[in-house]
Order: sequence, then C-alpha cells, then structure tokens
Amino acid sequence: MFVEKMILMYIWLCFSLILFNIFWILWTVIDQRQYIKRSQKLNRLLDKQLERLEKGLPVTRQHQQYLQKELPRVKYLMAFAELLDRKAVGQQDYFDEYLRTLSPIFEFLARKYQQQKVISKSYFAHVLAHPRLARNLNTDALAKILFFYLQEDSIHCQANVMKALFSFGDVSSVMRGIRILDRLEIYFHGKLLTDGLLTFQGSHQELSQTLWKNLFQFRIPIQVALLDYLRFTTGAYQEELAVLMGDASVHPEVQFAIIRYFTRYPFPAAREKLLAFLQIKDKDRWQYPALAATALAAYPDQEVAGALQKALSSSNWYIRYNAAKSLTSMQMDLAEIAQVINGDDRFAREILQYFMEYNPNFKPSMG
Amino acid sequence: MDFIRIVIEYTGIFFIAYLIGYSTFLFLSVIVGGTVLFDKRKKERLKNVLNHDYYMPITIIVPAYNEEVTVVDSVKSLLSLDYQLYEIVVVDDGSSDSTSQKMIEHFDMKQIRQPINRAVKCKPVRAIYSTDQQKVPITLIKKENGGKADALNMGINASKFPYFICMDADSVLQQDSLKEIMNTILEDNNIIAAGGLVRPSNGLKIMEGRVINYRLPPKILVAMQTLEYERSFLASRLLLDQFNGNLIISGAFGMFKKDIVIDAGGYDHSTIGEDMELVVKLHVFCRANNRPYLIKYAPDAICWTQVPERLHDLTSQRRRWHLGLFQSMWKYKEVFANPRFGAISWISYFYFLVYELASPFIELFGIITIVLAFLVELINVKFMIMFFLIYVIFGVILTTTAFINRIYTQNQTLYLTDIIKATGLCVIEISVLRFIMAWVRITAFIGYNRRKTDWGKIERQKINLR
Repeated sequence: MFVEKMILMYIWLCFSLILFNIFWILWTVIDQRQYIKRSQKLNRLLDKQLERLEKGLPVTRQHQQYLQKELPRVKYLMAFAELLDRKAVGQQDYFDEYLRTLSPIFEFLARKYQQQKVISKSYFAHVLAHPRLARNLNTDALAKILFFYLQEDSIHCQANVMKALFSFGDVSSVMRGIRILDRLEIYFHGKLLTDGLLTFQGSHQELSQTLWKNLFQFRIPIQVALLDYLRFTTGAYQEELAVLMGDASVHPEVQFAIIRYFTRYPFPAAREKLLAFLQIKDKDRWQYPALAATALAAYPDQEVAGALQKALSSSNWYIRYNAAKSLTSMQMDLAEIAQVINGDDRFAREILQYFMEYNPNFKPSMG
Repeated sequence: MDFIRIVIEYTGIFFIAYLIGYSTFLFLSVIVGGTVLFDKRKKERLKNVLNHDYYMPITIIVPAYNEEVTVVDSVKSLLSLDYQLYEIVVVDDGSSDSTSQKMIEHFDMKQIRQPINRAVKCKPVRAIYSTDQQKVPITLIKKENGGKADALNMGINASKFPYFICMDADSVLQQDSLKEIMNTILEDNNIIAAGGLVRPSNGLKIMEGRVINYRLPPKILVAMQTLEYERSFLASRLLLDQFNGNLIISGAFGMFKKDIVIDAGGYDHSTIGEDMELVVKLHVFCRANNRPYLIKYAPDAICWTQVPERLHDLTSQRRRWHLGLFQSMWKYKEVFANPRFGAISWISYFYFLVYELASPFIELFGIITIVLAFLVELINVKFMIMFFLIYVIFGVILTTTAFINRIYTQNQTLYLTDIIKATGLCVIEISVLRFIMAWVRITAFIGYNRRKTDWGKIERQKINLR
C-alpha cells in the first residue's frame, strides 16, 4: 500500500536524522578535544615568537607560513581568535609588534575568506573587529576587501563588517561602508548604525564633520540614524538644523530626528519653530506636537509654559502626556497649577497631578 | 451491504489522504526544525549573531488572576533579565486572593494616580501602584475582572514603550530571552510580532534566570507534555516560520509592536484563545491594509512555564485551548481557501482546521468506521494491527527526533536515559493520552457559553528560584 511505504520511508529518513544528530554529538566532543589541542599548539608557537621578539629577533618565516597555511581554515581562525582575546588582556609588550608582522598574512586571509561561505566571511570580519588586531594591521588594505563582504545578503555579515570598519577608526572607510549600505538599499537597523558609529575608534570630530557634509545624500533611514549619532556626539549643527526644521521638503522622519536634536541642544532659533509645531492640530501630524512638547522642556520660560499648558487639553494622549511631563520639569507657577487643577478639563488635571506626584524634584514657584 | 462497502471504501481513501497529509506535515516539521536549529547553532559558533548592547525599550505585561503563589517570584525573575531598558506592568484582573497584596508588600509599592491611555478597550482601574526602587520600574494595576484578554489590553494601555511582551504570571523568562526576541527586530524592520520557545518548568531549579537541571521531569504527565512542547516548538513552529505562517504566538511569551496591535484593536475579550486570535487578526489586518509584516518565531528566546501536573487540570486546559482554537478559526474563516493569504491559507489554516480542530472528530469517525467494518467483516484485522504499529513507530521516531533536536537549542545537554524515557513515553502518549485528549476536545463544546471568557486556572507550584 502506498501510504504504508511512504510512512516507512519517512521513518527511515527520521531515523537517518537521529543518526546524524548522534554523529554530530560525537563529532562535537571530538572537535572540542581537537580544538583544545590546536589552541595549545598555537599558543606554544606564539609564545616562542614573542620570546624571539623580546630578544630582538624577528618573527620566523616558518611561523608566518604556518599561519598562512592554517588560518584559512575557520577552525584554526577560531583558535587564533581565542588566543587573541587571552593575550590582549595580559601585559604582552611584544604582542602588538607580533600582530603588526601579521599584516600581510591577514590581507592574504581576507582574500581567501572572500572565496568562502558567507558564514565564514562574516566570522573573519568579526575577528578583524578585535581592537588589538584593528590597531596593528594595515586596515586600509583590509577595508578594500571588506567592502566586497558587505555586499553579501546576510545581516550578520554586514553587521560584522561594519563593526570591523568602526573598529579600524578610519573615517573614509566608514563613509564608504555607509555608501554601500545606502546604494544597495541594504536594510541595516538605525540602532545598529547609530550605536556602531558611537563605537568608532578614530576621531569622532572628523567623523561627525564628514557625516554632516554628506548627510543628505543618503536614504531617509540612514539620514535618521546619522542624525541620531550627531545628537549623541556634537551640538555643532544647531544653526544649520534650525534652518531645516519645518522645511516642507525635509522628510518627517528627519524632522523628528531634528526635533530630538534640539531636545538635547537647546537653540533660540529652534524654540519658535518648536512652539509652532506644538500648535499643529492636524491629527495625521500628531507626532510633531508630541515631540515638540517633549523638546520644549529644554526651553523653560513663561511663553513656553503657557503653550504647554494649552497642550494639556489636547485630544491626543501623547501630546498631553509629554506636555505635562515637560511642564512639571520646569518651575511652574502655583497660580497656573491651580488654574489647571481647578479647571473643567479632567484629563488635563489628572495627567498634571500624576506628574506632580511622580516627579520628586517638582517644586512650584510662587508666581 | 453494497452501500456500506462503498462507504467504507471511500472512507478508506479519505483516511489515506488524511494520513499522508498529517505524516508529511510532521515529517517536514521535524526535518526543517532540525535543519534550522542546526544552522542556527553553526551561525552562533561563528559569531553570526547580532550581539548588541542597547536594544529598543520594552514593556513586560504580566496579567495575573489569583496568582499569589507565583507572582512575586515571577516578577523577581524578570528583574534579573539581561536587558537595558524595560518596565514591568503587572495587571491584577480582580483577583480574589492576595495577588496584589503580595506584590505591594514585597516590592514596597506606593499608590499613584497614573492616568491610563484608553487606546484599546478594557475594564476600569481600581487602583495603581508603582515603585522605582528596583532595577526597572514596576507598575501594578488592580482592575475589575474582565478576563485575560482584558488584562492584557489594560497592560497595553498602561505601557510606556513601543514594544510589549505578554507572558503568564507563572512563567519565568530566561535571562537573555528579551535580547534574543528583540534581535528579530534588528534583523528585519517588518517584524511586528515574535514568539519565543516555551518549555515546561515543573520540578526545575532556576538560578539567575537560567535553568540548571534541565532533564525530562519525573512525573509522567509532565514529561509527556514536555515531549509535546518539544514537538511543537522545535519542529512545527519552525516549519511554519519559513513562510511567515505561524498562527499562534504562545500567551506564555510573545513580543508585539504596540502601535500595530492598537490599530488592529488589541486583544479580543470575547475569546478564550486570545493569543491565537491576536496573531490571526494581525495577519488579516496587515494583509487587508497592505502593510508589509512578518510574524517570527525566535527559538533562542526561552520561557519556562508551569504545565498541569494533574490529569484534571490538563483536560480543562486542553478544553480551553480547543475552544480558543475554534473561536479564532471561526472568527477568521475568510482565511480558509483564500488565495490572498497564500501559504497561510493553504498550509497553516488548513493544518489547524483539519489536523487540530477537526482531528478528534475525524479520529472518532475513524474508530466508528473500523467497528462498522469489523462487524460486516470488511476489515483485515491483521493488517489493521500492523498498520497501527507502523503508525506508533512513526510517532515514536518523530517525537524522538524532535526531542533529540534539543541538542541544537541553547546550552542543551542530552542524556541517554532521557532519550530512552522519551521513547517509552511516546508509546504511552500515542496509544493512551492521545485518545483521552481526543475525547476531551470532542466534549470541549459542552458548557461553551459558561467557559467562554474565564481564566481557567490550574494548580500552581511555587517557582524554584535560586
């Protein structure tokens, strides 16, 4: 009977999978043992080379050839990476010198891994991101090869490559990496990009200047991520961003990033525009007044307090909530509080009361 | 006589097709599940993972009803999660025990007058308490009783962050589970929801958010449920995940994007299976509104939950699940055979309809046919027994394969005694428990109106936290 034969075939295939799994368990045990041996051997070889460097002798050609032969195999690279972690912690004076001699080998490896599976490529990029390695290798040459890795259809490979580029600390390499992400329309979460840029090992001043110069060439999600990075690193672009704020040709997501920027870096010219945003009544554009209500906490004065007080009666929850939060972070006048508390608007009253209780630093001023 | 012969013949053809479909689905689940998990471990070994320090802020919603035994331990375990920015919102759905009191006393919570954004419908608040003295803010909302869906809706309304986690008050999230589940968002911006891997925690010791003795539990009923969970979470969910076809994110651990859940109307109060209802609703809502979306399954995001230890509790739980399944399937019947839903319609919905919802009835029909065929001497008893044995062996092999697949889940060791035990338990499950459960599901509809929205409690054990 057909069904019977089919089930028997399924049983056989499942049984094969069980056998495979058992084989895999055994292989893992054996592989772990081999890994330890490999690691120990590599450690011994490396210690010998460090001793030589200490005596003023160069790293042997034989050792370099050994690494060139073995490190294209990912298992050896794993052992090497583990060693790198261990040695980087200790006080190894000659370790940096040793790593510098490996520069041509790593260029060779980068080309070798380029021909391998994407998972191995990604791992190689991960190893390159090690700060000790990045500091001592010829990163310009490596970056050129990594740009090809970046084009792989794997978020993990792309993330590891970008991590390596951030670790190299070279502005032009980072810029080129971002351009590739942009040009190929690769999805790269804004958080990965912003937080990655914050780990950049070079000059942040130079990086932010270059990013700013090229900012509006990129796609919107990248613009937003870069603006978020600028918000965390410099307040140098207040004037330029104040001009862009409210410009109808600027994408709303970018506008929101700019509003957030002015939450961190208060700027007089931004204040008027934030107040104008707070007045927007269009329900489809509620994010503008909601964000402006938060940002205005950084601009405490009578006019702002009055505008925020009005916003307490907004029909939108988020606008009301943010306005109350901002108001209670300012020195609010007792008479103004009484006006809201004794007013007819129950929502405004409740939300203000909540923040007055919630904020331990809240102290009303006496008119 | 001829008529009976024809009926039995056609019934035989139907059952052959039914079995082919079922065994193929299970077989593919196990194979795909094993392959995906193997691939995941390989990637992890070679650092092909997004190991990010700062993630999106998230609200953990813990709906609770008469959970005085577990709620404090559950919240304590949430405080040890390896995650930067989150808040905990416990919603006490009008408990008649001291659930709220235990929370207030243990965490020294103070009453506040927090206004709640009524974005989705829920019953009124009685009181709100909070504390900022712990690692993350904890809010306790006491509300009028309205069922689990209503409590979750309240949690959504009170949450401050753009993503929320729903979980049960008797569950414990593994230390890295939030990171693992939020990784899905970093990988793809279209992800609107993700479910984690749920595992039974009965009898296990949990230290710093990690289980330290994960073996097959000694109690037979619990062990059998463990096998069932492994089959589901290490096999079929991974298969459905390949084409965005998961129709369920377990209520024990799921992550959702808040704005889209609000747009879709939140949890439905009128169903028991609010977890399944929400997921199917999101599929329907996103497709109707042409919103790109993905609902993912994250097998490395692990949640430990208590499963029933008594047959009575298990049967009442399964009755509820079956009713919930029926309600969700019925409510979204438009998904059935609808090309607009693609594989979700042809594979997921069809599977749940035929092999989950209708299966107890089909099995009952099968037994009646066998008896009838036996009476009119149209059955080859020897062949029937042999066929049943092949089926049992198939079931055992499948479950054992899914069970062994656990070696590819995080830090999992496999014990030979557990494999032997699992194999033995499969035989009992297929030849005994399966029939009991079929009967329970057939009779689930008795008292349907009465059970429609209750919480359905099982006896809770204290969580063994170290």
